[in-house]
Amino acid sequence: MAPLIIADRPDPLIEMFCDGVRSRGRRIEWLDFAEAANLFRVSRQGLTCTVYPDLPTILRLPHSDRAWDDADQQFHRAERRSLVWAAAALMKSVVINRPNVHGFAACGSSSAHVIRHRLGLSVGALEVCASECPDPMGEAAHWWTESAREGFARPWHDSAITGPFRAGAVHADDEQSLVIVAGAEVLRAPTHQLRQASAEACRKLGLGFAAVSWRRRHGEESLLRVDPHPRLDHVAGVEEAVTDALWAVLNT
Amino acid sequence: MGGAEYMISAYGLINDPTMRHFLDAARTRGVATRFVDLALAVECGWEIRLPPDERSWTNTPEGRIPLLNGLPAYCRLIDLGSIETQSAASWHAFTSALSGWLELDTGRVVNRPGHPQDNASKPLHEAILARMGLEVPPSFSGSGRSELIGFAEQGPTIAKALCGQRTDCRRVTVEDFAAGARDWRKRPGRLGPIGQRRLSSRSQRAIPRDQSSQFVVSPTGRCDCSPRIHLRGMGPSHLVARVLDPGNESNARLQLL
Repeated sequence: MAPLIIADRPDPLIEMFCDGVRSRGRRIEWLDFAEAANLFRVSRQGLTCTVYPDLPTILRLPHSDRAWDDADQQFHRAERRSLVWAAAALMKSVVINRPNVHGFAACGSSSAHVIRHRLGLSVGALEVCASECPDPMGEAAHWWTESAREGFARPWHDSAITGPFRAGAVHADDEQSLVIVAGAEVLRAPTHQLRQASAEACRKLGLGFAAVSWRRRHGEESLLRVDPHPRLDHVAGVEEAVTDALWAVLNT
Repeated sequence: MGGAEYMISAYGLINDPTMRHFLDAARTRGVATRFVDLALAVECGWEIRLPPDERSWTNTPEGRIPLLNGLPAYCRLIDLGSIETQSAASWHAFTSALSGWLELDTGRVVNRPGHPQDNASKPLHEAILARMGLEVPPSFSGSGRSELIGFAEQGPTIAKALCGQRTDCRRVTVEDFAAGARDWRKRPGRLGPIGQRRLSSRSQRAIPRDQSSQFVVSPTGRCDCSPRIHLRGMGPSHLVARVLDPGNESNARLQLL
């Protein structure tokens, strides 16, 4: 049987990956979480766990932005996710971004501070999370906010109307780098140091495919985020290399 | 509301029976507890700074409550966004931020966020418990009707939620799946997954047989009976002592609760 991708639709990055795999004359099966939950069986007798099917798999994060208006539907969705979580964690085949006891994002977190703490890195710059748009700490020109409903950051004076918000300081001379870790490949790292640091962060967090954000301020590199669900725009320019790297992992 | 007058903090929902017991036990012992109700915070507003400092707060109708970094704390963080869908973004953002705050809190935190979450995936949780040397009854989880029938044929079986969101469970037999066969054929992929566990003889009498086939026909339906497990010496009073006394047993055991 062909390797599996488990990803809710739409997922432009996975569409790109599937197109790339098929253009190479290879087969791959794409299931969403509902389809995967219908397919997987997990049985256990004592210490022996059996997962069917047990195939090389790429696992993406389940979509969380659907508005569920029915608590029973929400429960059913949680049931499906729980089975996929267990199957992907317990199968013997290679799983890219295999979930662990912490969930689908392995040891990842949306907070830079939590990630830095888990990686044993020093404390980073102030991060404010709030129900209302937080006033600037320091110069207003450097204060940026991100609405949870929008998912991207804007200058404070141009903040979204509805929160909740995350906020922090961004300086005009900050340099940001987005490094892609895909299997054994580390792509777009501007320096050897960031190449090694990005690979090490993903290894410690249990991620085989991630976008690692860094900020360089006053000559010092600071980890901003480890995204276990890279988007298509994150891999712009290195799509072929990402496809090759992930496919190589599935065939190890 | 300064920190000096409090001995511990508690974070959770006032409607949560475990939290209510904890607060009652603290009150009985004369332990001054500063309680942060998550639902009130989501409704009234909040601001949380990372890394934790003394300027984070949540609002209540009576006024602002500062979050106290370093104060011993007990937390039961529950994201009700899956139920209160209109405020799902607020629930998720608040519980995520508070989770980060408590993970980085410099004080003693019982059930500090960042601990394993696999109890929300029962097949994984059972596998891990088995690896730890515990005797865990056999299980099958999936949507395949023939396999579900096969497991039920081999011995007394219960069905329970895989994700742990609805902790009730009930007994099932082959007839339960036979009764749902027509729905199974009509709606492939809509039924299941179902988590089956072999019923151990010790707990068998605690779970009455229910003739309803609701769980099989609609796995999203509510289940019928709810056996409760009480751990000796691990009640709310015991927990208050753990929060207060850092020299007591390690948090690791408490995180299994």
